[in-house]
Amino acid sequence: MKLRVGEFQVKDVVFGEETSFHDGILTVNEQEAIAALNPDGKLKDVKLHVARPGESVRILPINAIAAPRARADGRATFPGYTGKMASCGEGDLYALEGMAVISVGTHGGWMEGMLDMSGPAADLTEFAHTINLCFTAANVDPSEDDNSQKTNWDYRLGCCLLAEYVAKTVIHQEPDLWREYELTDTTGMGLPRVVMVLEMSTFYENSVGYDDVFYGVDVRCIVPTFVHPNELLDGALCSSSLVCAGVHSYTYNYQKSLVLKKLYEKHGKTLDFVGVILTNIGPNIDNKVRAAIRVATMAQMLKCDGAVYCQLGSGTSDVDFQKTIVALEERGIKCVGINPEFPGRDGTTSLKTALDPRLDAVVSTGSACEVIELPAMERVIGDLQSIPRDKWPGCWADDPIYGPSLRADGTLIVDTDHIVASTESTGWAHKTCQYF
Amino acid sequence: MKKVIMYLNQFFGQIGGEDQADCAPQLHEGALGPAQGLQGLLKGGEITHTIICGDNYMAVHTQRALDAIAQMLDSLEFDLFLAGPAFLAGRYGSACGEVCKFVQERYKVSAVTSMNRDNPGVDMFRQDCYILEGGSNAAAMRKDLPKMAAFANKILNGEPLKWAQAEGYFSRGIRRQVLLPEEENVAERAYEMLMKKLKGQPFVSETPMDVPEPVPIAKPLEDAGKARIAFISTAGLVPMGNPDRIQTAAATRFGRYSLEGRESLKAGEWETVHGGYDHSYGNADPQIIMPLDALRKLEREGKLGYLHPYFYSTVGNLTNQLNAERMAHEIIPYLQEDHIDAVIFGSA
Repeated sequence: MKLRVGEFQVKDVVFGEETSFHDGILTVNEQEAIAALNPDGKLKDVKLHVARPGESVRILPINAIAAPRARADGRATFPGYTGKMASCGEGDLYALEGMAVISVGTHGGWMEGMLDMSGPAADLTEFAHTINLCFTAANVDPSEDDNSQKTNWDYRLGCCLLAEYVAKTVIHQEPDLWREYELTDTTGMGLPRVVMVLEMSTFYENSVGYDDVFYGVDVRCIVPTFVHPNELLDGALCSSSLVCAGVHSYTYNYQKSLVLKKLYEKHGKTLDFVGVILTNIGPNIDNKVRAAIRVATMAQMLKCDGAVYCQLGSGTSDVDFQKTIVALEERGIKCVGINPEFPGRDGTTSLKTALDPRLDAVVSTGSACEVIELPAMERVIGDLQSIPRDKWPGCWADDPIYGPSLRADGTLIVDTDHIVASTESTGWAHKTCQYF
Repeated sequence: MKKVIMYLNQFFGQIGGEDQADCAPQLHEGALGPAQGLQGLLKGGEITHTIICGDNYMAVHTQRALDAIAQMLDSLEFDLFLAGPAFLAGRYGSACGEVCKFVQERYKVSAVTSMNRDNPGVDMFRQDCYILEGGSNAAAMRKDLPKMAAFANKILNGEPLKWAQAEGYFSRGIRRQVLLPEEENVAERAYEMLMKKLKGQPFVSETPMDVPEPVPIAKPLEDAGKARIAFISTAGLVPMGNPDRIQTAAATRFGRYSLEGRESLKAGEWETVHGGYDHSYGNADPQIIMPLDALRKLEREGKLGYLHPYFYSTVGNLTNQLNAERMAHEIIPYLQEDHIDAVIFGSA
């Protein structure tokens, strides 16, 4: 299975007559783009915005982020989701690099997050370093928005549709470079066999429309499955409407995981990259134990020597993280886990729900509950008043120690968990935690 | 030039040996003993005074010694307080820690000392001040003083202090996020760690996974039919509208809701605000979170002696241990007042 990704470096995104791409400038026809992202008219008041690195811009409440990609063969970018079901991982994919597509709703809730394009929060997330084509919108049905727990279905789908729409404009052009992804035969090289284990959002047992989407299917309560890394690079997995913003892996992260790319880069050199096991956050203990057994059995059948486990979120997923790594280690498969930490706002409390000294190789994405103060921004995309009004996990209307998150002068005090993908585990976090 | 004050015991203050260990605190102008060596290494700071106190005096008459030191310091201006190094000397180490803690709290000025890992003063005071890791005896002075000076210079010049291991002080138990260069992202670090682990080479895990002391489980009730029972839950069930504004995650508040005259909890009157699980079940039937009808039935059947007339509710999602313990201590008096024997604890 060979995938070629043709990369076009985007230098700026502007609005204009015709959606096109020339000399690094992506021009977007707003009306066409809005029609593309809202095919069923379930969203209203849809507007497009551009936010660039270094600008004094604050974006919230964010509910989805995707990387713009399209196929020249007419296949949907996200098969089974933005179009007909088809296979992923083979052929040519056209990719706009250096930019992201971001969906912004009306109300904060327990998965929504915020992004600052400059200031101290910009150091915490990859998305302060991409040019972001954002859309703001409201649901036609207001009950879809005004709720702390919501599917964000039409925003998430709209985000993927917009990513597909803008990327389509480059499919007949020659990219800056082609990258080839193929798990070449390493027989006889004696390299250690390594699998990536990726935790997905799978924990809404009977409620449809919240969890991750795999080939268009809501993966709630899935039994772990094994995929080719090219399938993830080519749009097989899209992100959920669950898991707090800081620890959230967005569709963009799944499409471009740096952990996956690192293992690919070393394939045939220092290791033999076997593939990716997609696993669960179980809604109950049986589901967690089942997932641990299935992952370990698959890894053993694949004759793996090592595994890198990317945790999604925290709390309940700490248990999946612990059980699965122990199951792998018990079968002689050496594991490194990647996880966020929650040492408390004052840095003095237990880091994880499940602790186990057998997890002896764990990389930290940083603290999801470090309190940070942020300056006011000149421009807001979305609604700043959603901070005091709505129930968010990473900010508050008022607090006896920290006062309100949003102050009269527009400055903020929030948890790092409020910042999109700041402690997510699929590759970008250049942070850790230390004892002081 | 910033001002520094130094604390030494009778021996390093050159008053005398064990025979002078009972001497009361005394204030000297300028730098004495090791403070002189330190003075030469400080950049942007001057040791204006040295306080000397006998180790026994500090150990036996701690409050009196601290009061005397306060009298000396109240009229002095200073920016940094240094004590020791105390090496492996137990009484001296405790004295340095005691004085540093006192000075830091009273004057809001950073206090730094140095001692050996095995000095009992380390565990007694590591959370109260910076204790640099030092050698075991005075022969280490030539290593420990430059280390103390380098650390003091950072404080005097307002440079950010790194974490415990990087600076060489004993951790105060405070875990904080540290930004790394962009190229040291988790993908690179995980790959490097995995390759070392596969090759059997040493590596350093980043997230500690040590298990804290478990809480002992209480003895079973002798007779539940006579027991007085209360119900507490971390699943976030609250009256519609969340009157106590309990947070969806990292909760700091709990609610106390009356069960008086109620036989069951009805949908529409209650909602869950917990930010970590599917709300549809709990909102449709609050009694899967707080099973009041079942508890009332057991009460009527005599299988349960008495149900406390309130239930207590908070959100366990990402709630830290300190807040959880504090909330427990706030709930306990209500339970003791009603002579509760046991609590049914419902999780999310």
